[in-house]
Amino acid sequence: MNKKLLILTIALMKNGFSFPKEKSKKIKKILLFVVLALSLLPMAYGIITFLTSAYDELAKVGEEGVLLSLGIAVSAFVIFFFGLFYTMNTFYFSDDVENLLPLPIKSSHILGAKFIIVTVFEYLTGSLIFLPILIVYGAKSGGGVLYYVYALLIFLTLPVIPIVLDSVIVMIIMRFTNLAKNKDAFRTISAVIAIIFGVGVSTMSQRFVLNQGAGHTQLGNNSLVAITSNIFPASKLGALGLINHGNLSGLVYTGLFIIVSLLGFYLFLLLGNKLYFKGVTGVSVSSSSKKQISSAELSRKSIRSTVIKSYVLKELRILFRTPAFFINCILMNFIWPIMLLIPILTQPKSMNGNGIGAMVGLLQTEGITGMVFVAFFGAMLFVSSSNGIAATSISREGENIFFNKYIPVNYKTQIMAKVITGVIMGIVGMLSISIVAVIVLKLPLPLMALICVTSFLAILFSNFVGIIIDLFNPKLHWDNEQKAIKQNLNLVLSMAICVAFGGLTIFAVIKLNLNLIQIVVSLVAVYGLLDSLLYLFLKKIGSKIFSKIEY
Amino acid sequence: MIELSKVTKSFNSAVKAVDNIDLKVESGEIFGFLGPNGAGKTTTIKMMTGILAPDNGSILIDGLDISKDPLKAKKQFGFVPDSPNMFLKLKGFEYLNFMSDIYDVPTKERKEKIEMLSNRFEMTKALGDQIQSYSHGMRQKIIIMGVLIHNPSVWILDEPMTGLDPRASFTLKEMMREHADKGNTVFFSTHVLDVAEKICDRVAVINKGKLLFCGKLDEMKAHFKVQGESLEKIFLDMTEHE
Repeated sequence: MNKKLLILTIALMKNGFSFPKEKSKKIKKILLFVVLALSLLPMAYGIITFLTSAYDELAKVGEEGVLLSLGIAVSAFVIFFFGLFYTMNTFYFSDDVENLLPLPIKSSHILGAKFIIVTVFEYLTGSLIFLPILIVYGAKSGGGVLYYVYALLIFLTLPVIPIVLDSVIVMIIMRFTNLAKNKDAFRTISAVIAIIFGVGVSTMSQRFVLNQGAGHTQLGNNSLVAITSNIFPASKLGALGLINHGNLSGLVYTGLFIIVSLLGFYLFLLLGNKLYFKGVTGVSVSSSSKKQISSAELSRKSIRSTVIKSYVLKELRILFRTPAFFINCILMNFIWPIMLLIPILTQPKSMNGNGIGAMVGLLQTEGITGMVFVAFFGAMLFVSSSNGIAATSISREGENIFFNKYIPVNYKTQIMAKVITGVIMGIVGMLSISIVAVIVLKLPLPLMALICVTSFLAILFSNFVGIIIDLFNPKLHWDNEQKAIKQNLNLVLSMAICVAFGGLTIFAVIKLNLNLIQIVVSLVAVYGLLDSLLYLFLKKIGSKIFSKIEY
Repeated sequence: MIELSKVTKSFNSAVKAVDNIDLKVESGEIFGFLGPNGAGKTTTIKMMTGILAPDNGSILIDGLDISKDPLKAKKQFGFVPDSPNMFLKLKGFEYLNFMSDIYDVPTKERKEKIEMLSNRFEMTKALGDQIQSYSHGMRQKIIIMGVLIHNPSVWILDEPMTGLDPRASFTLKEMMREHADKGNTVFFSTHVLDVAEKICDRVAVINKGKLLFCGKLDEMKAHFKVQGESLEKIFLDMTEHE
């Protein structure tokens, strides 16, 4: 790699991941990683068990290659999906380009460095999905050194093409936002369009591929590889390279895969030079209307309200108006209903009878309502923690945390205002999922209403957990907003804890074999108690911790 | 009135950022807090406003202890921090209303106050825009307006003149004088000596966490026995040879 490009990449990376110098903070951070790793272990075990049995089943019909091809295709899709957020954050919301432009650096180096940073992020995403598949396949098929060499090469190359697609979509859309007057708002809207567009394209292609392939599923001899990999055409090469690692064609396929990816990167650089810099400059400049506010207007707008209401409103305004916060904290609440819709929309028509129809039928069955209930409750724990509003609420204050300390508002009120903000958006997310569930999955409305009322306790729980984690170790040192959220382990940790609680709750309900009424009563009792305890903790100890936070 | 007694603060190491400071700012006076960069001015102000807790000593704002009775003490003062880059996503009037709610300003009073302040600071046409679109000086002005909206008796300002245009700077100085003349307290830090020389009733000089001098400006000249020397020279000598 070019030396200057390397230096720039490292500098931009370091800027993002600063490891604390003080020993106590270092230990805290290491502990955080350990807790995170531990909370992910049960999930890893589950995934590996699942993959092993999937391999065995597929091997029986000579289709074990499906595991790889499907793995590559799914990983590429997931990388593409998260890549939309990563590229947007890294390319457009990190505010560092204007500092880099005056320096004697080639524009292709800036583009390259940012591309590499996104790629590195994606290795983390890839290692959660793709790595277990590669390892299970390798172990099961008895792949030799050559298999693992190819596997490593393909693992490292895989994110390139999805990211090229991401960045091209994002760059084209963002190129035009610079023409707009209210940049923040327009940029936010473009981000939404980019995500809808990206999800739409991949949904359509998947649907097309599945429709095409529906007739040929029984062919055997890894023929499914060809079909499933069509989602990202180039990923087929990678899968074929790995499956044929024993002979020369494996080398050719792997080589071609790498060459195609490199060509993709080159294309990205060419387009980036044309599109990126014109779209990114002036990101932080916003125009003003310079209009005089009339006395009547002022009277209407300056009406006294309570401290807590005013504070919540302030939090919401900032969340909605800061593009990085909007994408990660607000938009996130609407992602899950879409995620729920994708598998439904991608079902080919021929499968309607036994696909979604069967699922709707299943959900109507007596006795399954309890399961639906607790599954939704568990899902809400996860969904409402995923917006990260509470888990980054102290971190988001950044260097302005001093403001919270000199105003005559006690810390309990400030904490609760932040919790309420998260709860409001959690409810919005819950309602949008409920609408999809009622309309598409045809869940009865009264049941859904009961689920929502009970799930309020789950939303409260995840927000309490989130803010407690953030109070203990807020990430205040950041220079642009996306770092307060995207590179904040508190969010990941609070999600991990909420997922663990969700899993435990579902597991307990299944084990105890409860009926619907018992489920509602026990969920209300247990989470009611947990929420009360957390509230008391925040009131007594949370305020003290807040008062000791220093920038 | 602001009273600091035996206030000490150190960060992590043995070096004391603020070392055993005693200071009394009377009602009715404009008090300048002078010192070079890194002298301990901002740390002192942060302790006075409750942002940092002192290791030792006590701080009283109008007789209320900031550590023992923080909420009441915080209502007594208005604080202008050294960086005005706050709440950039809020519109001007949204920020002013938010501050009014925080400090319990009634509807009628806040409206009058907003109109009066925006006229005086020539901000009437900016209130409908996001603070992000403001220049540095305008951001400084909106922060000052947000502070003055609840009519605090004690003003604490950290480098308030930085970035203000001459006109706004003049207005602020005028307002500081009016405020002090009504029997209130104005405390501000600066490293610009001209400002201190023109408007301060008394000054204190701090360097490396220690208070070097506290008194009237002519006393300062007499104290260092260099009649005829510019204040700047005295200041440079004092903070350099410490």
